[in-house]
Amino acid sequence: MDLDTRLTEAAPARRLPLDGPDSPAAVRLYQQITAEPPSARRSRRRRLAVPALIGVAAAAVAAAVALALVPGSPARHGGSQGGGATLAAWSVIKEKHGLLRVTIRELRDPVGLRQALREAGVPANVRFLNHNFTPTTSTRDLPKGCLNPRMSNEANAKLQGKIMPMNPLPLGGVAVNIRPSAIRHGIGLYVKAWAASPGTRSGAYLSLQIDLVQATPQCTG
Amino acid sequence: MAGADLDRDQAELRFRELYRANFRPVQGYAVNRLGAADDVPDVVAEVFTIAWRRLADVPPPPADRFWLYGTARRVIARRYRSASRLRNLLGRLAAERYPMQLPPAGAIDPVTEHMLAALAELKATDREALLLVHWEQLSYAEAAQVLGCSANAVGIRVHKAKARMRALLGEEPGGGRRVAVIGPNGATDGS
Repeated sequence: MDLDTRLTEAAPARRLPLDGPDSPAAVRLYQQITAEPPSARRSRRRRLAVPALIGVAAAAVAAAVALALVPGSPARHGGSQGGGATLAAWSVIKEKHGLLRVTIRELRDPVGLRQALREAGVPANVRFLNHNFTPTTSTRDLPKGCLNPRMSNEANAKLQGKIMPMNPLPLGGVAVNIRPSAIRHGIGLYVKAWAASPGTRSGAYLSLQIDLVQATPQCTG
Repeated sequence: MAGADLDRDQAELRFRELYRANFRPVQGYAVNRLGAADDVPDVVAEVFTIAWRRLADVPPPPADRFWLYGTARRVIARRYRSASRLRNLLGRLAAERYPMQLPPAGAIDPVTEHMLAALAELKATDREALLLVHWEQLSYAEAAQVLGCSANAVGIRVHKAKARMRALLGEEPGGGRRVAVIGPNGATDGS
C-alpha cells in the first residue's frame, strides 16, 4: 500500500461515527448558538465567550455553561425581584417536574442568589467575578479546603447531567436548569459568574461555570 | 424593528445552511486533529459560535468550509495552549504537538499507529498541509485558503512532509531514524 493510501486511511474520523446535523446534540447546539442575536457588523477580531455547553470532558470535573446575554432583552419569565419593565439581576424560578431555572442578568447580589438557591434546596456558593475568567477544570479556582466530590470523572459528568439537565433548553439569558432532587447528600454547587468584557457587570457575554463540590463549610459555607 | 427581524431571519437562514452542510465536516476535522478526545464537541461548538457571531465575515460556499476549517485550527491551537498553561504539563511542546494525541494502545492497528506517530514528528505547518490534503481531501488551492498561504506553498509543505514521513517510516534508502511509539505509561516501543 503506498504512502498516500496509508495516510488517508489513518484518518481518525474514518473510524469514528460522526453525528449528523439532525442529531439531538447538534440540534441542541444550533438552538443555543442562535439564541444569541447575530452580529451584523464585519469584525476582524472579537472577544469570544465560551460557547454554551456543559462540559463533560473525561478530565473535567466542572460544568461550564456560558451563554451570551443580550443587553435589554427580556427573559421569558419575570425575575423574582423584578417589577414592571425592570428585570431582576437574577432569578430562581420553580418550573415543572421539580426543575429550577436560574437566570443571571447582572452580576449583583451574589449573597441573595445563594440564599435563594438554598431556600430552593440547593446547597450552593455563589461568586460574581470582577475579572474575565477562562473556564477551567482546575480545582485551583475553588476556595482553600474546598474539594470536588470523591467520584470518577465519568460519574461526576453523569451527575452533572442529572443535576443540570439541558432539556428543556434554558433560553433567555445566562440560564441553567437545576434539579435539586438530584443533588445527593453531601454535594453542593459552586457557582461562578463573570463578564467577558472587563469593566462590565451586566449585558453582553455574561458567563457561568458551575462545579460540583463537597457541601462543606469551605465550599458552600 | 421589522428590518431587524428580517435581518435576523436572513442570518438564521444562512447560518442554518452553513450548519447543515458543514456540521459533519467540521466535526470530522476536530476528530482528525484531536482523536476521540472529549473536547471535540466543545471545539465544534466554538467554531460554529464564531461563525454565527461573524456571519458577515464568512465567505459563500464552497469557501465557507475552508473558513470553518481555518477557524477550527485556531480554536484547537488556542485551547491547547490555554490547557497547557493551566495545567502546566508539557508547556509549549504540548501546545505545538497537540494534533497527534495517540489513541490508547490496542485501539488501532500497528500500521496506523506508526503512521500517526510519524505524523506527530512532522513540523506543525507541514503536517497541517498534509492532513488537509489527505484527511480533509482538499486541493492545494483549497488548503491554501485554510492556511492563509499560496497553493504553491501548500504543495511545498506537502512534499516536505511526505519526504519526512518516508524517512521516518524507513521507506527511503538510508532513511532517517524510525519512530518510537510512546505508550500510555510513557513506555517506548521503538521500531
